[in-house]
Amino acid sequence: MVEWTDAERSAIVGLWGKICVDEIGPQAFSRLLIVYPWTQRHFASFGNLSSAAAIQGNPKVAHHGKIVMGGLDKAVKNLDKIKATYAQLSVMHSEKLHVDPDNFRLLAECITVCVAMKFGPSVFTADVQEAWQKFLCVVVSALGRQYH
Amino acid sequence: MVVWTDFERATIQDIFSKIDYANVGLNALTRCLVVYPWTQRYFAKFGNLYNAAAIMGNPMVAAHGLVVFSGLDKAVKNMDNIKVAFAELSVLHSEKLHVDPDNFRLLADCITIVVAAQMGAAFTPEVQAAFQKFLAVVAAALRKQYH
Repeated sequence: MVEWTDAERSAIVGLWGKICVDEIGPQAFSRLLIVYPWTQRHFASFGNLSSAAAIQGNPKVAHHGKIVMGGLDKAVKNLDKIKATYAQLSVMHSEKLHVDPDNFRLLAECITVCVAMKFGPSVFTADVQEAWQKFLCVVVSALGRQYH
Repeated sequence: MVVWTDFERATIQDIFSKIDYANVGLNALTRCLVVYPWTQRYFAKFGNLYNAAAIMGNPMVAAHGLVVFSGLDKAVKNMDNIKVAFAELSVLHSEKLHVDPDNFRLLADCITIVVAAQMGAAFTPEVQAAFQKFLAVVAAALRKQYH
């Protein structure tokens, strides 16, 4: 089981409380598709992904970014049982969506970059970054847990 | 050989001409040591690395941040030849320092986050892609001589 210090819990919950999911979700997800273009293979039905501008203006991309953040919200509210909370999501990503789990880490990185940009170094301090990246690492691990 | 678009070249030159190497070096290395604490194993002689504040205030960390960035500066000035420019550095990191090359990616991530936090909205997705490509080439060059 993951152990969270009090400082980590409050950093994660505090940061999450400041994050506007409708803003960060679409931004982070757009960046994933732009910076790591092979990830577009999972989104063939999304229409026009032919350029950075097209991706950033694509409503299906924005919508999916918000769905991802909804999943993260569930994790923040269940910090002590993320693995159990994500069991079905993990099965879905493996059996139905066939997503290479390495891509979870790439999306986590894009989310972190967007959060760093939004809040700057005085809010997103080294300690907050440590807690946040540990949190995303646990989420990524839980999403990969049911793969076989 | 790595192919750079004009946009990528201009972006990298622009970012590196604007950032304060001492500042970004210290902040990025501090974050690396805090967020990935196992990396501290390479810096046992640095003294007090007990917490984030101690690491940020540690003069040896600051000095080393500058060393890292002078290496990056060399890469920026030799963008078409990074592999060759870094050959000796790669041998050093492998044979003498015994650094697990996976850690290059971790430090690169911390550098990206510090630069992104400083640049804010100017760190667009296209700029991010160019910057991360540059750091990936540097990391690959640093591990090229490992055996």
